[in-house]
Amino acid sequence: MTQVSTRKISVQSEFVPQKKRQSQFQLKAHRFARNKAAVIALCFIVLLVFCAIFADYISPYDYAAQDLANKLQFPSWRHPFGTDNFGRDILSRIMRGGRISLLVSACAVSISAVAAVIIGSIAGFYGGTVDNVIMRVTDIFMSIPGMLFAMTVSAALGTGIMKTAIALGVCSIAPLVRQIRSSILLLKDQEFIEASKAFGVSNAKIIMKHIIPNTLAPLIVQISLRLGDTIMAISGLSFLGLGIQPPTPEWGNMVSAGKEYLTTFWPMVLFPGLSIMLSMLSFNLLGDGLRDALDPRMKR
Amino acid sequence: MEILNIKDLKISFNTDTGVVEAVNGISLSVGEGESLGLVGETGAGKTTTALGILRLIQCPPGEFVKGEIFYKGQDILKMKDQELRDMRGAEISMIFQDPMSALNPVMTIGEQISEVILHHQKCTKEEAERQMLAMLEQVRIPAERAGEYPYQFSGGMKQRVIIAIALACHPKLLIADEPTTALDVTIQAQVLEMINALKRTNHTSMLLITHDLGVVAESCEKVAIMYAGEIVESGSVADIFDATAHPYTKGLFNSIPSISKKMDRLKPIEGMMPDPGNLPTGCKFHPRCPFASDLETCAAEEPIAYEVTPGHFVRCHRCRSWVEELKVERGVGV
Repeated sequence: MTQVSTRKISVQSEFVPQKKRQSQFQLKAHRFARNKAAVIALCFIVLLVFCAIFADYISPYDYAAQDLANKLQFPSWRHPFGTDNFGRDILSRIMRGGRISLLVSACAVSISAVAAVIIGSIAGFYGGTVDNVIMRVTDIFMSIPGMLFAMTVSAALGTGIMKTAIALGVCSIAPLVRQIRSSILLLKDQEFIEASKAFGVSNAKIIMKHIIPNTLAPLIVQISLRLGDTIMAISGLSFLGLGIQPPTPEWGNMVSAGKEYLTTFWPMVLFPGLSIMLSMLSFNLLGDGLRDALDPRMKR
Repeated sequence: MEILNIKDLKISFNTDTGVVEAVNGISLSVGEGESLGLVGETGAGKTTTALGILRLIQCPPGEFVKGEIFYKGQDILKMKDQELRDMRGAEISMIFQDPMSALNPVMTIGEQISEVILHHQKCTKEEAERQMLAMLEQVRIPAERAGEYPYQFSGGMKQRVIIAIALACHPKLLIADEPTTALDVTIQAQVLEMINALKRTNHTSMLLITHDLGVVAESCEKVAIMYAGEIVESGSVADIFDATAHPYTKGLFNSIPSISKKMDRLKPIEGMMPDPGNLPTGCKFHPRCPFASDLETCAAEEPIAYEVTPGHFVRCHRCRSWVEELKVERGVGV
């Protein structure tokens, strides 16, 4: 009748030193800080966000200013990342492009997270026919390759920042729904949920106050991993010409513009490519670090 | 006045492998301020009965086949969802077996106690917090620990927090489902004492589910012994402990080591609890009963409750014939 596994966990948890009255947050932050890779990743992300927000003030040149006399310049002190085929400063364009990438991926992930939490909670909590219908629909969505799905949706919606965000958001709903449903299925048979029912708490309140806060940790991890994936997907779409259109700078379309010069002038592909790679890597490392810090089973 | 009255309740579960009859026509009643101990082995249907009273059994696969559960004259089985939610926690409350998993790990204990108060009483947050702190004091947990999370408490303290939640709205009936099973012996005594004291001050009735006869002796007035979904013997504590009639109850007492008597070996009850999906015919206990071979009726006929002395009921063919013989003898003797 008692769940052996959960009991073990909570028994262990009693050995956390009680004299230090650390809040949950402090405890987790402390644990996160010990993961060096994750901290570096977090610093890089903070830098990216800072550049994206203040791109207009801190970038050395106007991202759109053309200077055809100085086109295709290799990196130098004047242009640290060089200039592109229209003589625009690549560093300034990367800073500005980061804004688009981050904004779109934040929007896309918010859309999918909100939708997935609602759909996943309903499926997991109520079970039965509702669950079956929702899960079969997600199965259908998941059987379509992600990139292909994103291309189809954005082809249907058209290009543009908001439309790309919606396209990418919609296609990452299905895997997230699965994630959330599974963590809710685990939770819903726990005794404290039954206890809340025995104390007369309504279903809606149980979902809002007991179930969702308990799924928050895996959800945060998923969100940070998704942010990385989505940056990749935006760049992919833009590279193919389906996402953000030039002249708006975006890492993907910058790589796309530079591919013609790949053999003769590498900075046009290298720097935006590196930005994509590093930001995706950072979000993944951050996600890993968060998972280790937030996992209740890891108490050391 | 009777606060809870269960009449011929039958609960079964329809599983893929067949119908599991968890509770088979039990009847019991709990008076105001009274404590009833429901004793039985694991799988006897005690917890199912408790969850049934609160209508917390998932239907399907569960099914209330027949019977009635009256709480203050109102049939719980006929209540609407809203009425049920208003009743749970405020009128009938439950203490769960395992304090380790009955608290939400991501909410502070203070929030968890206030939640129930806020839910049932139309009051402000401040008022709920005041009541919450008073409740914590009653279970002897320092008020400054209200902002801490369950993992920062020991097992016994967690169980006291659960008691505080269960009693926060002063319910009329408290169902305690093996409240001390998951705790060690010294803490058990502490927790039991606390439940008894709070019960007395709040004048709460209690249905105490346990497999520990010692616990029953300490805190109950009436006892019902459950076996395979049936109540085989019921009566006052004195009836059950001093005038044990049913062979199963006798078996239970024989399985407890005694300090006063010299014993080489304990005498456990032979055999295993029957599979509730495939119960024996006649008396459910007959395959394990040391006296069953005397009587063919044991395997064929289901015994009905027989009143040995007023208030002391036994479901056993053997006891019935025995007592009747005794009466005849006495009648002849007089």
